[in-house]
Amino acid sequence: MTATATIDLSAFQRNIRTLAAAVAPVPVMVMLKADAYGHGIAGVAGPAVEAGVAALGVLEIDEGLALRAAGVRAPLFAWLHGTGADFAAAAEHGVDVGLSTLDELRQALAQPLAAPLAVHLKIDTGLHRNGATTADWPALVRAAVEAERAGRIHVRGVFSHLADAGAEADAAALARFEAAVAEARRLGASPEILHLAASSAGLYLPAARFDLVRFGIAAYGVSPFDDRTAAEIGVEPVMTLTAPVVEVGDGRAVVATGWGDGLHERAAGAASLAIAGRRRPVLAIGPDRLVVGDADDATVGAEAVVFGPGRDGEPTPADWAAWAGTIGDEILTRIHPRVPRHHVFR
Amino acid sequence: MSAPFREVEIDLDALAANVARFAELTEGAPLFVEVGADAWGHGLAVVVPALAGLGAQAFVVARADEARAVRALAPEQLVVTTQHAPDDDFAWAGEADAVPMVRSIDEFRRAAEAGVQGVVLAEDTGEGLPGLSAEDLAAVMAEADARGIPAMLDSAFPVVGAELFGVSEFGDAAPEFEPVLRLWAPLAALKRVGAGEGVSYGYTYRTAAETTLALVTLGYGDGVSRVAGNVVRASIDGVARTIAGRVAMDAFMLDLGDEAPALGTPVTVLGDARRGEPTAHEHAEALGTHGAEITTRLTARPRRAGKGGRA
Repeated sequence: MTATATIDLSAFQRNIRTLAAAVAPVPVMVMLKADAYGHGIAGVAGPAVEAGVAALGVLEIDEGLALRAAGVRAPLFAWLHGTGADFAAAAEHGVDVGLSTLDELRQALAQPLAAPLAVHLKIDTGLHRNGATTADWPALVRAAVEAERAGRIHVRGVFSHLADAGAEADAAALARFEAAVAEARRLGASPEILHLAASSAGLYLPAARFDLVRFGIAAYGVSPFDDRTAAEIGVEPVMTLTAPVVEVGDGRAVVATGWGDGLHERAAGAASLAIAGRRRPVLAIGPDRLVVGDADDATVGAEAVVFGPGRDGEPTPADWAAWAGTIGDEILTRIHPRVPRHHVFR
Repeated sequence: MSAPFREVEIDLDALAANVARFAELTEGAPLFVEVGADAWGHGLAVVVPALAGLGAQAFVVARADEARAVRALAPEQLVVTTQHAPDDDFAWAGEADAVPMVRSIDEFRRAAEAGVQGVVLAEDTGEGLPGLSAEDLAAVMAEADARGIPAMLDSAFPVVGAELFGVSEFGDAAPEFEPVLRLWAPLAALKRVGAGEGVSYGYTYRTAAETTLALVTLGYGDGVSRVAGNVVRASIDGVARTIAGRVAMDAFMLDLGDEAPALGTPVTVLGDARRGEPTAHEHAEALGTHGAEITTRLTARPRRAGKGGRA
C-alpha cells in the first residue's frame, strides 16, 4: 500500500524511436545518469538497447561497470570522474570516458590499462562546468595524441555541453566547438565521434548533431523546451506515479504519498491530481500523505494518479514542474528510492 | 570500484548529543523515533543501529516495506507502522514483527487475526486523520485484552521525529538540537575564466571579473534543488559562497575569485553553522520549505557514511 512508479517501457521505446527518427541518420545515445532520471537504470538499460540506441550514457565509470556486470554490451560513455576513478576498469570493460583536463588524463595514464582506453576529449564551449578551456585545450590534445601513439589510449571523440542560453549562445558554442575540433585535428588527433547536442539542440539545431545526439529528458517523455509540449515533439511521459486513497470525509481525500516520496511540498495549493479521471486540487502535502479537495465521490482504496502521460485526466511531470518552479527532470529524479518502480511493457 | 566523491556524512556524536538533549528536555521519556522516508534522508542503515545503541526503544515508519528494512537493522526494538491499505491483511506485520497503529475496529481485527504481537491505538482527536472514538476505544481495548494482544494508546506513545536529527518539519531551525547530516563533495576541478562569462545552464550568472570557477559534483540528481542556484550557499573551509548559476543534475559551480583551494578540498552544501557551513534550515528558508524536506529529498546517489560514535 504505497505509492508506485510504473515505468512504461513501451512508451520509453516509442520515445527513443521517435527521437532517433527526428535526428536520423545521426545515431543517438540515451542518458541513464541519476538512476535513469529516476526511472531505475537496471530496468531501462536493456529496453533502450532494444530500441536501437547506438550507445548509453552514464555519469561515472562505476555506473558503466554496473551495466557491464548486468550484461549490457552496448557502447557506454562516462564523463565525470572523482580522484579515485577506476580508469583501468573502464579500459578493461570497454567504458568510453570523457576527459576534461590534463590532470584527469595523467590520472588515467598512471593506471594499468589492459586495452587502449577510449577517450572523448571535452572542450568547454561556454557552460563553464567541466571541459578544457580554449587556453588549456592544445596541451590536453597534445598529451592525448602522445598517449595514443604510445598505444595507451584511443582518442575516439571530442564533445561538449551546450548551455541552453539561447540561439546566440548556441551559435557561439558551435563555433568554439568546431574551432576546437579543427585544432585537435591539426595537432594530430583523429576523433571519429563528435558530439555536442543533448535533447534540446538535438531537436532544433541540426548543425549541432554531428555524429551523435545525447538524449536525456526527452527520452523520458518530458519536453526540453519551455514553449513546446511533450506531445508537440512526439514523446510521452514514461513514469506514472500512483498512490491509493486511504481516508475520505468532508469532501476531502487523503492519498498515501507525500514529500517523503519526493513530491515538492511547495507545489501544494497549485497542484492537482486525478481520481477517477477527474482533477482534484492538492491542498496540503505531508511526508507520507497528501490531502485533496473536491473529493465527495472518492472512495477509500481508489487509485490517485499523481502524474502520468496525461491521457486520462492526470497531470504530467511538466505540470508538477510548473507548480514547483522547476523542470520535469527534477520532478522525476527526485522520486524517492522507497517508491517501488514497476517496469512494464504495455 | 572508484572512491565515491559525494557523501552524506552522519555525525553519530551529534546524534548522541541530540539523544541526550532529548532525555534532558523530556525528563527521561522513552525514546520512540520516527524514521520514515529513510530517516528524513539520513539513511536507515546508518542511523537505526546507532539509535538502537543509544537506547531507542521504538522506531516508527509509515509503511510495511520501511518496517521490514528497520526490522533487519534493529532486531530488538519495537517497530510501529502508521499507514496501511484499507483491506490490509497484516500478514507482513507478523513476518516483520511489526506493531501497526490502528484507526478502526475493523483494522484492529484484521491485525489481530494476522497474529500481530501488539497494536498502537489511534484515538480520534477531531482533527487530522480519523481514529477510534472513546466508545470504540473501550471495545478494542477489551477485545485486545481478551485476545492477549498488548495495546498501547498513541497518546502514551510520544514520538520524536526530524528534530532528533537537527531539522524541523515546521519551518524553524530545531534550535534545541544539532545538525547530524553533512552533504559534501570534494572540489573536482578549477578553471580560470574572464569577466562577463555565463556560468551553467541558461547563463543565470555572469562573472564580474576574471575569476576562478570551482566545479562541485553535487546536483539535483543528488537532491540539491535546481532553483538553489544564485540563492543558497556552499562552503569551503568554513567560508560560504552563493552557488553561481543554475544547479544542474550532476554539478554546480562556485565563483572563487582569486582563491585557489586544492583539488579534493571538501565543499559542504548542508552542514552546521558553527563550522561556517550552510544549514538545511538556511536552504529551506531560501527555497520556501522546511529543513526536514531539504534532507529528505536527498537521493540515494550520495552514499551515507557514519562518523564518530562508539567504536
